Amino acid sequence: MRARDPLRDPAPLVRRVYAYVAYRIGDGPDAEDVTSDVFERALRYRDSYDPHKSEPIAWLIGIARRCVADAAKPLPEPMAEPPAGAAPGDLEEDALRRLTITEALATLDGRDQELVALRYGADLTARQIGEQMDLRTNAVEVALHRALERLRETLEQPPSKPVPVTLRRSVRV
Amino acid sequence: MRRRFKRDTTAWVEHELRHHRPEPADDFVRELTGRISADTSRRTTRGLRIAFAGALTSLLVAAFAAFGGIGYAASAARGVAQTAQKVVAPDAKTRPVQSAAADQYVGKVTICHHTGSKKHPFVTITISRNALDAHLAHGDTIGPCPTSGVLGSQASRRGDSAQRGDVLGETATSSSLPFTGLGLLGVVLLAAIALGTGVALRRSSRA
Repeated sequence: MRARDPLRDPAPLVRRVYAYVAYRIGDGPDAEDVTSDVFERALRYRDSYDPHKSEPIAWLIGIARRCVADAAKPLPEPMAEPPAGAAPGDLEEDALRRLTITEALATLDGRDQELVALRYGADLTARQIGEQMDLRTNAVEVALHRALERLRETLEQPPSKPVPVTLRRSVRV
Repeated sequence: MRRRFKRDTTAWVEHELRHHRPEPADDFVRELTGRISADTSRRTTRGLRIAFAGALTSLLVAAFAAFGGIGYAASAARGVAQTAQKVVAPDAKTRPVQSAAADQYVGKVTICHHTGSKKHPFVTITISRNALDAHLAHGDTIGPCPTSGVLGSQASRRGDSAQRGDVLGETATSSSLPFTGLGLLGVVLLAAIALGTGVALRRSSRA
């Protein structure tokens, strides 16, 4: 039983699932709730996991995608100021940078957000992303590259020019 | 070349996405991991308990079968069925079944012939009823000879025409159980191991 247990080493899996969820719906308590929900479902259905079909993280991300769709929460609105609790110094800079990335991600369409979250949040390979999204590996790489280009353009824009909220598209894939 | 250039232009974005990847709070990770580990150990213990119960049941069934319990149960069931048949239909006459082979051997009888040989002391033969008395006087017995095996070989080694019960009585000593040859000490040890495993599993599931 232990050999096919997908939750044998849960800590790194929790971090990767959380990062994916946070890239999709935003960092914070909501992401924690969704991550908890993902693992609750994983515990309930762990017997259905087939190690021959996918790795544990890919299986968990499959569950996480459904949980995110159920939560149906778009990324948070861009904020002009950093959060009140932000730490000083480097930490503050980090927090600001993270916020900027979140804002830039929010300008992408749902499919691109999903691709970026799967690649850089869950740390899946292009092949695993292709299996999740029913795409060919090559198509994933091209789409991911285009998403990064769009993200780069957004991030290179001067900070004084906020992204209009009305231009954002739905986050649902 | 063009592709490589394009990749380079997005490399810093990739770096940013990786470097500033959202991280969960340590407390949250610890709590969730603890919950998962607790569930895992609970499931493992449950699986062990089921496996232990299954193994113990198999052992009991095997021991029951080894001591002839299944045969006793079958004959008891047959007896019950016959009794029930007598109660339900007391006047029903049973017609003796006569097979083709039995028809062929009318007036013949099967006996166990004692040859006096050391290698083959008994042989099953079919003789005329007229010759039966002579064979019985010679020490032969009616019915086929006992099948070869532990009993037969022990009996033949002794050159003894003793009944089955005599041989069994000698085989079943105080140190080993009849039919199985299992030592009493072995059975007691097995029981102690089973009991100890059960108690350990019970304790681990309560912890």
